[in-house]
Amino acid sequence: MRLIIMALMGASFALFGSLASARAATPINPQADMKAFQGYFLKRFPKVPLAAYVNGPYNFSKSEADQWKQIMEFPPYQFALDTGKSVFNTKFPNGKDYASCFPNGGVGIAQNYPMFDPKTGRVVTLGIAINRCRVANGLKKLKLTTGPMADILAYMTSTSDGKPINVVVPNNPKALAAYRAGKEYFYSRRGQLNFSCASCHVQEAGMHLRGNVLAPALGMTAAFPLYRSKWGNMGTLVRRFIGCNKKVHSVPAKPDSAAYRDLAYFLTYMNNGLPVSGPGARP
Amino acid sequence: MRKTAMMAVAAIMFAPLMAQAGGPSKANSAKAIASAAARIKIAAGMNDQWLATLAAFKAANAAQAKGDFALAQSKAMTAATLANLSIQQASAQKKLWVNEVIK
Repeated sequence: MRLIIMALMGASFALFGSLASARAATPINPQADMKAFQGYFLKRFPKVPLAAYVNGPYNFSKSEADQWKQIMEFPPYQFALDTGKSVFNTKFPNGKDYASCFPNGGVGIAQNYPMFDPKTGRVVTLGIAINRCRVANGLKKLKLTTGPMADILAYMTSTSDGKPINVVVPNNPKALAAYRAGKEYFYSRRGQLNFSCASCHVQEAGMHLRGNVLAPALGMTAAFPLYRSKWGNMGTLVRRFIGCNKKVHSVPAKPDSAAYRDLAYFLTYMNNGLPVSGPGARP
Repeated sequence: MRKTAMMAVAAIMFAPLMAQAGGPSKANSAKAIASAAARIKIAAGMNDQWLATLAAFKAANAAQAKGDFALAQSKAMTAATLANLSIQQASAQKKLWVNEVIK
């Protein structure tokens, strides 16, 4: 029986593949994409103002929003924030510090990440930039998903609180290719459940998936890193990507993979103009 | 009636596969595992590997190590089938993803 289902699934993939339109060659226009992306949500949920999307699922569930307000009286990410600040300000063994690696001493710059690095031709997330800084100063890379990395990101992101997200996709073929790859990843179905990121966070945004409200993709990146009650600790955007992949029964990519870098690039670009609201707290 | 029909369909569909794989033996299960490994490699290259594929492949290797060649062959064939499905999915999505884009 299981094998028959598998065979039918295979046939359906092939059938839909053969029916695909020839729109794949659409020119890359990040600005137009962003306008359409934000416009879609504003039209679909007219009562939710643009800036409020940074609050994710709380726009769609009064009970969750009420709980969140109570939780925020003693933010669960506060310990991470304090630790992150302390780690950020601690000197490396060579006498330098994190601030020496970033413009403006690393303060108030999170809204500009991910950014395209023309030297390497790759997208650099703030987490990857932190690891680059560590390696340049003789230290090992940190895990990109949780722990000290999430703490440092929490602190750096807090210094950008309220600043409008300002990710730039320069007119550079590699930058545009990375942006397009991220867009393709976001909209491509994958995993045994045949879901794309958009399946949940665009098409079903605001709906319930069992007990959870599916957060819209718009505003999603603004609150990271965040404390999830489900996790019981802090996590980065990459940790969330990994979790989503596993949920659709797909093997996740590596945390520093081009796939996740490019996905973060596309998704954060879609949030341009929204205020940074991290670190955040989610159920 | 329905069950019989399904079994008949399955027998027709998978008969060539089973015949190709041969009966359970160390050599045949090893061959099935190698075949699954090749499909898994392709799926990985397309960034579309399924958790169930790797679970089946792991079970195939474990059964092979224990000398349960029938189970090893069966699990390896399941892994190969799942890998093939994910390859088809990834290939189809190369064209289909644009249909989901917000415009």
